[in-house]
Parts: sequence; structure tokens; C-alpha cells
Amino acid sequence: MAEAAAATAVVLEAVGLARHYPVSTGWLKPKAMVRALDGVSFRLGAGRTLAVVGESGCGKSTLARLTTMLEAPTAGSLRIEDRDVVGVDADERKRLRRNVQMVFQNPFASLNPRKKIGQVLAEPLVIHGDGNRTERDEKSRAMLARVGLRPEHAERYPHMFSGGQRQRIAIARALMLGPKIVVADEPVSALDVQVQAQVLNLLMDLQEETGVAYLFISHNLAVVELIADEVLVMYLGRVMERAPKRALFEAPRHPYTQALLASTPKVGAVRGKAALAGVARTALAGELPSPLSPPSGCVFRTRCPHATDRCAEVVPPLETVSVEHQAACIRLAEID
Amino acid sequence: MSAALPALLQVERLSVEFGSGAATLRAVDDVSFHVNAGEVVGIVGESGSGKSVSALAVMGLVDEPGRVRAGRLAFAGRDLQTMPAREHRALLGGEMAMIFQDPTSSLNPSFTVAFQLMETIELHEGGTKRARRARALELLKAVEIPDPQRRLDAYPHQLSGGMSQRVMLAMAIACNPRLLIADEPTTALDVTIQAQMLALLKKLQEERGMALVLITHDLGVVSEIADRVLVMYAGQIVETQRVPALFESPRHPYTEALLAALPERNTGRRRLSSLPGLVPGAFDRPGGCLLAPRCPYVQPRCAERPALFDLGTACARCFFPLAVTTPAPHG
Amino acid sequence: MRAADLGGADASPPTPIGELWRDFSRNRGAVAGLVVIALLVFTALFADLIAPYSPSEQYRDATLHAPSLAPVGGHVFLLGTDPVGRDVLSRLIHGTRLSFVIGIVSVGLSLGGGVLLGLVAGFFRGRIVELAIMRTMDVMLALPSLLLAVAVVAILGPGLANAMYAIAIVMLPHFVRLTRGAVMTELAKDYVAASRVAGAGTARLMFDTVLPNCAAPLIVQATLGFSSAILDAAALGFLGLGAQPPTPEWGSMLASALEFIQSAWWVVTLPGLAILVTVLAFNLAGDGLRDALDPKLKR
Repeated sequence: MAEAAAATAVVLEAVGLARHYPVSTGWLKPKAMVRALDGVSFRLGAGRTLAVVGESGCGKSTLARLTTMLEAPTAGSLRIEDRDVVGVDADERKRLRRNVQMVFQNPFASLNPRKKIGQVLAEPLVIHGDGNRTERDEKSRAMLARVGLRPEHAERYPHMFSGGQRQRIAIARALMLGPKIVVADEPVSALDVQVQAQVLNLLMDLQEETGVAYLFISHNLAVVELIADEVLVMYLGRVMERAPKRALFEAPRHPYTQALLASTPKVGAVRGKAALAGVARTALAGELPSPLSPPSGCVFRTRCPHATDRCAEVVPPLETVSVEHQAACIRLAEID
Repeated sequence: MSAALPALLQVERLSVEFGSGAATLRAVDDVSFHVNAGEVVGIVGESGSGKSVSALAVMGLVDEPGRVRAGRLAFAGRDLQTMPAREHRALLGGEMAMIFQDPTSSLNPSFTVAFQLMETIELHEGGTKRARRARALELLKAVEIPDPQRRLDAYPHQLSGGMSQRVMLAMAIACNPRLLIADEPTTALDVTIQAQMLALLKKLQEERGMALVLITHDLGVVSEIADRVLVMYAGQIVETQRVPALFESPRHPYTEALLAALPERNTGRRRLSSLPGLVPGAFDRPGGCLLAPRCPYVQPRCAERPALFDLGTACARCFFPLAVTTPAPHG
Repeated sequence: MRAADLGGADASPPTPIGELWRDFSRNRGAVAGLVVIALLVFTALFADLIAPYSPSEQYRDATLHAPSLAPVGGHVFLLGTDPVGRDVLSRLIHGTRLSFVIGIVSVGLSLGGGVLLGLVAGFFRGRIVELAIMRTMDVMLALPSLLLAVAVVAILGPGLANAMYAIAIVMLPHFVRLTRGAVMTELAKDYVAASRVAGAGTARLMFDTVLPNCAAPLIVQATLGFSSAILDAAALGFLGLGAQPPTPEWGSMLASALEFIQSAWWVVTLPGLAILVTVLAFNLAGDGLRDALDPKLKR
């Protein structure tokens, strides 16, 4: 398993990625820094799926924007297909864009309302000068069919489609340039269960057919368990745990991961009031700290059931737990 | 299934329509259900199932151009349809309360939490300003808001999603309602906050003997907290059954499909099972059973409209309800 | 297993234009306005054919003649004549052409310039160029519009063409602000990010992606700007700074005949009525268009 993972080419690699935003706190006061991402490192192999899991404020949207080069990192390095993307000029960045595309969360906002579907799909090809009109139209129709829509849909406008269909169109658009990586930012969160299943099936089918790698961002652990090969758990901009899927779900080591798993409502697990209250207790007391003033040391310590005084002093590094499995906690050995 | 006591909320043959002529949309189609005092009822369905519109119709919150018709809409024996407007207003927020999905748009952004809470209290209970403020503080503590004294004077934009939802809940329970309708109360919240919220809802419900109607698309939420579940599809109720029996042994093909499509029921499989096609909209509503175009068990008889048949421990709107399956023995 | 037929979008969905017309035609006032505009356009296009007489021909034996069906010296002046004997009806008819030219040129220039500046200001937020543009617009908005127009005409010299440029300049800040606001709203949306991720450059983003989605408020403003341009031209003409005699522009017709308001009402009132009807028609149609183009309220 480990050998197979090492043998796959790495299509996306981040080392110590950080993104900070200055935020004004008042007219004459100094600017505060929001540390949206800090010290994030990961590797995505060709044809594999790396899921990024976390709740609001964990930095997953920022990560999506960094990996699609919509923003530049404040620190750290990002390599797409083994080319460093930090500091490249506009032309080079445009070339690199062929390799990374994105599917957005909200199917009702990610398609241009004034363009027909055919135009939406052809746009990436037009931008990069691929083929002539006929070839582009052919490719668009082929892609539409691939995602389960009909060729006449190319003449319609987005508002005539349902959420699930729009998401299919968005996926089709993302694949038009044949990218090696697709960043999927909560692609099924806004969809109903049945439609979600259809779209997830589509994503998995397409991955098998084209060998595309997914950076799959989600807050839904059940979906992640289905689709991911490897999982990255984030909290307040930092990586809490990184593990292959099975290891994460069977033996989570970080208290935050354990809390997330415990909090997810499961069908058929009947719970009475006491059990629910118990879940809420082990789940997590309190709210997310403000990103403007994250806790010192381990950012999770204010809600962690195992926090000690030392947790406030030391920023825990990612420690190796087992093969390809790391967690950022100084008390790993003591907790189970 | 029939309660010995008269039900707290009685809904019979409720229908809500929008649009006109060829484009009439039956958002709610002949829905009947009841809620007993102190019971937790979950209403589950996907978008377009009519679950939210049903709740709004019961509360009388469906405006023009929607048309609401019901055989009977009664709360604690009092008829809601013929009730004078003043009495109805006193009832809403008083004995019948509702909380909504998006807490950030449910609170008035221009007024503090204290103001909004005290306004609700004033409308239904009255009292001096001091008394009302003390009561507001009490309510915030009841909903387990951290640092309630400070939160009283906060504005909605200073609160996170979870906290705003707690404030909403505080407003809703201010007058000790006998029935609380919660429309997707946790959908917009993070999963850890959701767990807190559900525990809180359940706690309040038990402490106050409140009936709770929980509307959601999330089967997991419903399975944790509900006593009984109504499953809705395209405006109709297709199944009602008690929890956990519903999840162990669904009687309607749609419920079975919903459960089968859950990612957690598909681990180890390569693909998720799902129904082909889409929920019918205004233009493609089948004449017979609404699920027929998509149902894996469809038969010729399904071209007729099935009624909600009483199967003893469950009700299912299907001519060929699924057989009862006994759960696999544990251990 | 992939769901082959997903149904969804039904047979022959209404086209965007079809939907727009359906929403627009619900408003009777708007349709009435549109009908009047159509009539005016027709009049403007075929002024030479419709007008009974030349607008500048003076009939010295029929000066200040009241409107009547009775012929005078072989000519019938349905709406009477002005102080130098020109047929008011013909002058009004030819004036329609001028009013439309004023509206189209002023609004066209203002819209074109305003959209460009607004796009730049919206896309380059926080940079110096945005600051420069918006503060200049603020200064322009701080001045009373008529005063500004007068100032521009004073610099450029009187005449209809210069009046149109002046009006265009006066309307510019409104279009810039509107465009910039709309651009800022659209820039935050996912579909713009999607085009960026696909590799679109700034120019494509501006004109191909964002601008079409800002069209609705701009179209409405342009329609209303039309009527405002006509009024401004009339005011300038009234002050003697716009069209010069013998040009049959409605405002100047009003201006040159004020003294006759009691003795020969038709020379003053009729051009005023023409202005009123035209402005009203554009306003009604513009309002109707705004309502029809705001689908978020309906859906």
C-alpha cells in the first residue's frame, strides 16, 4: 500500500503553506493578522483523492483559493505538476491553470447566468485557444453526455436546470481542459441526498475514466469516508491530523478528529437524552475562537477535553503515528 | 397509532398551491398528520417535498400568491382557520413557536439581543423593563449561551451561527410554548455545534414537556432525536413510522431509497445506490403514484393514486409496501 | 450506474426575451409608454413625410395664428403658427427627431464612458485609479447638474452638439457609480472565480463575464436617462445655450416664446406638452423595464 502510494506521481504538493490577511481594526490602530492558513503541508498523488475536512474557519476555502492560484500564499511553497507556482508570471500561471480546475460549492452561483451552457463549457477552450469553433462544440457536447446531460441542453441557460444538474455542468466545465487536479470545494453540500449520491457516483466514475486527482473539501465525514483515499483534518488554519482513510476512521488519534466523528449524527444510532448530552460533552464545549486572536500553543486547546497547561506553550508539530499517519498533539501517547 | 388523548396539533387534508393554470404547483398535497403533547416528530424530505411549506401553512405564514386549504387545522382543540386574527397572533410565539434555518437572517440586525428578547416577552407576558431583562437573561442561560450577560447587549452580527441560533431558540421558548416547530435548525451549523444544538433541543423539550416538530433533510439528525417520523416526497406524506423502526424496516420504497443513498450505508461499496431521475416539479407530475417514474418496484397498478395505507405499526402510501424486516441481531 | 435521462429542463423553455416581454407586458403603464415611444420613433424617422410644411419656412401672412382647421392663405395650420409664421405642428414633428438624437447621443456617450470607467473602478479596487475616478465623480455629483451643464456649454460654446456633450458629462457619474456597484457585487460571485480559474484575463472578465450581468440596472438607467437628457436639453435650450434658432428643438421653442404665454398659448404650451408626453413615456417604460428585469423578486 505504501509502495503504491510512493510510486504514484505527485501532482500537487504543498509545504508549509500559509496565508495571512491583514485586517483593519480601527482607524488609527495597527492592522491585525488573520492567519487563515498556517503550516499546511500535503501531497496529492495522480488519480487519488485527498479530502480536506473541517468546520467553518478551518481554512479549507482559503486552501481551495491557494491551490487554484486565485490567491498567492503568504509563505510556503506550492508545486503543481512539480512546478513551483509561487512567484510565476501571468503567462506561466495561465499555462499552469490547465492542470488545476475547480468545482464550487453553490451550484446556483457558479455558472454565468447570462451564458448558455454550451458557451460556459467552451469558455476554457476559448481562453486557451484550443481548437476551432466546431471542435470546441464537439468537445462540449461530448462532455455534456459524459456527465449525463443531453446535447440540446447546450442551448439552455443555467436557471433552467436543477441544483444537481448545474453541479454536473460545473464538473463538466472543470474537466474541459483535461486537468490533472480538480479542487472540489464542498461540491455536494448543497444537494439533496439522492442527488448527492448521483453526483458523487459521477465524480468517482470520472476519476476512474480520466485519472484525475481530487482535492475534495468537505465538512461531511460520511461523504469523505466514501470518496477519499487520504484525509487531512483542519482546525483554525492548521492541520490537526493526516491519515489514510481507513486509519482515520478506524483509529483517529487527534482529539478534534475524534470529536468530529463523535458529533456526526448517524442514522440508526438511537440515542436518548443522556447519550446525546454525553456526545455534546465529548464533542466539544464552546465555540470556535476568533481567527483574529487564536489561542497560543495548540489552537485546539480551548475546546480540547485533554488539554493541559503545556498545550498553551507549545505549538504541536505533526508527529508520525504510523505509516502515512500524522497528528499534531503533544499528548498523543497519553490519550487513546 | 391513534392517541388516547386528543392530539395537540391536528392537521387534516392540508394543501398549498402556488401559481395558476398550467403552471400550478402543488407544494403540499393533501397532507394529514397529528402531533401529540410532548412528542418529537420529525418531518423528513428533500427539497421540493413540501416539508417547510407545510409548517409555514400550519403557522399561517404562507402569503399570497400561495393558496392554503385544509380540512381541519387545530391546535389544542381550537380551530386555527376560523380563529380571529388577534387570537391567532397571540398564539404564534406564545403557545406555538417556530425557529428557522438561517439564524443570521432571522434576527433583526439593527437591534440588540436584549431588545429582541424583551420585545417577545413584552408581547406575550408584559412586565416591567427590569423584569423582562431578567427574564431575557434567564432564557439565555436556559439555552446555554456562554457569557450570557455580555451577549445580552450584543448585536446579531457579533454572534456566530451557533449563538444566533441559540438566541432564536431563546426567543421561541420565551413563553413556554406547547409546540415548537424547528425548520432545519441545524442545517447551517457546523457538525460539532449541531450536536450541541440537538442535545439542547432535546433537553428543553423534555424539561418543558414541549412537543417538537423537527423539519430536516438529514436522516441522521432525525434518528437521534425523534420519536416518530413523517417522510415526505413531492408534497405528499409517503410514510410515517416510529423511530428506530423506520430506519430498520422502511415500508415505502422512497424511504428505502433515501436510506440506501446515504454515504454511510455505502461504505465498502464502489458506488452509492441512488434513484434515477428527479423529483417531479410543476410540469411533470405523474397522474398516479408520484414515485412511479423512478421506483424500482413499479407495477402497472401504480398508475393509480395510492392513499396513505395504515399498515399497523406504520403508514405507507404504496400499493406494494415493503415487507417488515427484523433487524439483524446485535452482538 | 449513471442516470441516463435526468428529465429536468422541459421542452421549449421560454427564451429570455420572451420571459422579459411577458413580465414587461403585465404593467399596462409600461406598455402604454412603449406604444408612445414607438409612435415617436416613427414620427422621428418619417418626419419629412409626415410634416405638412417645412419647419423653417416662414409664412409672413400667418404669424401667431391660432390652431384651427380653417385655412389661411391656402394653408391649414392645425396647431397654429409661431411669432415668425412657422407651422408649429411641423416644428414639433421635426423636433421629435432632434429629441431622439439628443437622447441617443447623450445617453450613448455617457453610458459608454460610464461603463468603461465603472468597470475599471470596480476591477481595480483600492488602487489609485479607482480613487481618482471615484473622487472625480464625487466632485461632479456635488455640483448641481444644470449648473455643470451650463459651465460646460460656456466653455465649449452654445449649440445643440455642445449641449449634448454637456448633458453626457453631467450624466456620467451616475453610470460610473451604478456600474461600479454592480461590478463589485458580481465580482464576489463564484462564476467569476470560475472564469478566473479557467484562465480568463482581466479584459475578458470585464467585458465578457461581468458586464453582461450588470446590464439590467444599466439598461433601466439609460432609459430613464433618455428622458432626463431631453429635459436637460430643453432647459439648456430655454437658457439659449442649446439649440439655436431656427432649429426646432422643443426647449428652445419654449424659450423663444415665453412672452406669448398669455396671448398665444399654443406656441408655449404645445412644445411643453410634447416634452411632457415624451418624458412620461420613457419614464413609464423605464419603470416597467426595471420591474421586469428584477427577476429575483418574482422567483
